[in-house]
Amino acid sequence: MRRNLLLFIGLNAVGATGCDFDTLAEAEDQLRRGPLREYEFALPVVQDTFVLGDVFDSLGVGIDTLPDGLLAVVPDTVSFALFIPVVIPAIVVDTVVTIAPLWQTVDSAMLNLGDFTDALASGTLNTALLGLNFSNTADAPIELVNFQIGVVPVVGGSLDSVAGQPAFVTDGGGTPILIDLVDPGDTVFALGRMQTGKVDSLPAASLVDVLIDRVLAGDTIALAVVGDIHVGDGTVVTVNAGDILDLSVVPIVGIDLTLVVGGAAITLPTLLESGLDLDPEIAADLTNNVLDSVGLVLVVDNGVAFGLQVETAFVGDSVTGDVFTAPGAVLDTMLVSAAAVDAIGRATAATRDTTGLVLDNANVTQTFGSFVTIGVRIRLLPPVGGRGRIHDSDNIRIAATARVWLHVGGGQ
Amino acid sequence: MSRVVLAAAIFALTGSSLTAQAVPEGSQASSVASGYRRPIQLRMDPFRHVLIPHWGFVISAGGFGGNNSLNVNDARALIQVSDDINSSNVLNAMNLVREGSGLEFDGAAQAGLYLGGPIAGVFSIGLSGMGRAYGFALIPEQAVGFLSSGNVANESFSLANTRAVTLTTAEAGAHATLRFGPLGSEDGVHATLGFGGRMIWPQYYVNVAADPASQVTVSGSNASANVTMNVLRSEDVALNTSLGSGFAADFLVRMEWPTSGLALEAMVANVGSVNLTGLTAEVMSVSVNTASLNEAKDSLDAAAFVDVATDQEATIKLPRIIRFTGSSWANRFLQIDISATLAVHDEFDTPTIVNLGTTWRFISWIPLHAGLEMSGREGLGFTLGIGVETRNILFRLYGGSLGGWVYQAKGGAARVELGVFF
Repeated sequence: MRRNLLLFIGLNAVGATGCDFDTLAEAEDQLRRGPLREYEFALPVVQDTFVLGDVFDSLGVGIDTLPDGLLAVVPDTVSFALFIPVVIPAIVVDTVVTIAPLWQTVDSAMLNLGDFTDALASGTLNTALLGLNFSNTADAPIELVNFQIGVVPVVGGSLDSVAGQPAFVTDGGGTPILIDLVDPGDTVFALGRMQTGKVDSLPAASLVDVLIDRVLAGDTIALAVVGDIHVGDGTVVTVNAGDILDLSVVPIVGIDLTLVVGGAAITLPTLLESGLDLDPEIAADLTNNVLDSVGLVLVVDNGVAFGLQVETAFVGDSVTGDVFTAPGAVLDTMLVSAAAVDAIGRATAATRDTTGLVLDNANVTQTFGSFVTIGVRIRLLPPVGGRGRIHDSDNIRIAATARVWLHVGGGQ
Repeated sequence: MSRVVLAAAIFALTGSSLTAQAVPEGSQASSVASGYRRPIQLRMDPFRHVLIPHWGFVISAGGFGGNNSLNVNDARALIQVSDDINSSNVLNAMNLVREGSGLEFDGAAQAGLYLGGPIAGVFSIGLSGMGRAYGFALIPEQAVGFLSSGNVANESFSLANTRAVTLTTAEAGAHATLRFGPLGSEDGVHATLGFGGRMIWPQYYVNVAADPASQVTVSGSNASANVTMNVLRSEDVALNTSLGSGFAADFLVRMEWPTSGLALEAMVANVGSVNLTGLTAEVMSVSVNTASLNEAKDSLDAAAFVDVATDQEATIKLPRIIRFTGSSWANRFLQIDISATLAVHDEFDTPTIVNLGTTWRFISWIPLHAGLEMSGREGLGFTLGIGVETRNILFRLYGGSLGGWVYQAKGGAARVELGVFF
């Protein structure tokens, strides 16, 4: 009996001395003795509504909002300076003079359309305006009679001409595309002695459309102005040799496009964003011991008249060159349907699309470094009917959720 | 598990009937004084010395502590990885928390001096002075669930009932017993009534508790946290009576049949409370509701405890003990004890504990103890002990491996006593 008791104690004697396990791995294995569990976390990444008016304001290109809320791109001003073609030494004058064509070459640097360049070039503009500013330095009232503006090719440094007249670009029916430089409803534009004037918004969609198309196609073209000047009003006037009629034209390009089926690209710059910047040991621990995969679920409520084809590529760390062709790039494509639109292409009801992306261990580690290079290619897709307008209140709501699959335990 | 089977086999191999029988004259069983027959408790027992049949003093110290999930090997591993802890270690450790219970810790310790002895053979009195500490911590399963089961099935995690509390006290007690019997006949029952009380002066107190409405919600679209942690604590002082006072009462009824060797006992002890004064209240609140985890993380990082009030008062109920014990001589030298201590669900939450013990007296004054303890928190554990109980000397060394054997144990207990009798 006593032998049995001593045997009992001996069999259960504590053999180990000291507190630590022989290796850190043994200690970690001890903690892994719990039951094998695989479970999932759903974590909010971004839940935000992007209002197009606010987004476009931050794009580094001139943006304006028209009275009906349509967003418009405003490239640089094109200026003309006309020396008034008569010199009048303080006498009574009332005369009409036909001016030689005023013209100004327009190149791509003057048409800064930012990220919308390709889209505006490939689509047909439905809304575009010209803002006009005039300045008269002479002590004589001036009326602009039959002033018109159009696009004319430049050949050999001179305006292309036909029968002595500028060869204005024509529409599909052969009619020159010309815009009257006058307040809508008026026949002349009057400027008083040493006065300024303006026309705020002169409809000019066909003119601006052909201007953009020809400039971005690499053609050498100019905006040209023709017409007559009525100088004087039967009173004493003075026009000195240096007096000028200063005219500046501001194209206002409404984002009101009719796109072809294939849509139009919007070029966005490569983004270099901060990665999770995990300690390499922590990153290795996550990927080797805990993490199974990471998924990203995007729910997009698109209240914009255009659909979107969004191609993304990201690569861990800083990358020069094309991210989409960089070694190890993680690629994904998402399609977002256009919102429902009315007869003139304005969004009336948002559409919802859901897409997901699952990153395995090898891909998710791309986000563990200090930086992540992200490339985004967006293609605007036409709505039903092809015509779409983007208003400042249009918005896209994005709800992004990360789904993280982990496993613990199951050791020993 | 193999050790449990081995222990049961040894009990079987020792043979002899386990039913009570007449204690033979001249046996070790017949020479053991009544006061030494009470099974040694590794947990609180205010009457452990007052029934000793000699005048003298006893210095004793003991304590126990345990939890419901992590064993000694787990603790060793956590300590070893703590310098370089990583995500997998944290998640794996949380995965060890017992499912359905959350994470519970409890413990107590005591050290002190007893002086007393019998008067006229029927009355005993004892005086004691000691220091005592209690502790309890709970992280409910709901609070742990986020890190141990994900948030797809359940997005909200309540922190209600999350708390940790500790109380240390200085105590001065007086206990007495009255013995009656034999009642009815020469072989009749001997009854012992015990009663006493302890004056208690708190030395240190801290209570950290989550507001019952505290909750964290994380879904795929939103992260919100409304968490308030309340702290009530004393200043860090020692050996003073300025923190308040309290009183605890203890009661005992014991029935013994010396001829047959059977004994039954019921004890209600530590009934009382402590009134604390001069406490400081602190609060930490975090309230965030965001669709961005980064913003939620920043809010948590910025949270800090803020003193909100001083000179606060609180009344703490002491963890009451209700214990039933039965003992019987199985043969000439083997006493078998079984005791059940009922659970307490109060500020210091204690589980139901059942002890099954054997005391072997091959020599009557050298008790050898081996037993099992089944705790509603730690699980099945083992107790061992040895003593020397002579006319002039008392020595006891007892220990317990709670919820498992040594490195598999989820807790431990130990007790040492040294007494000198005149």
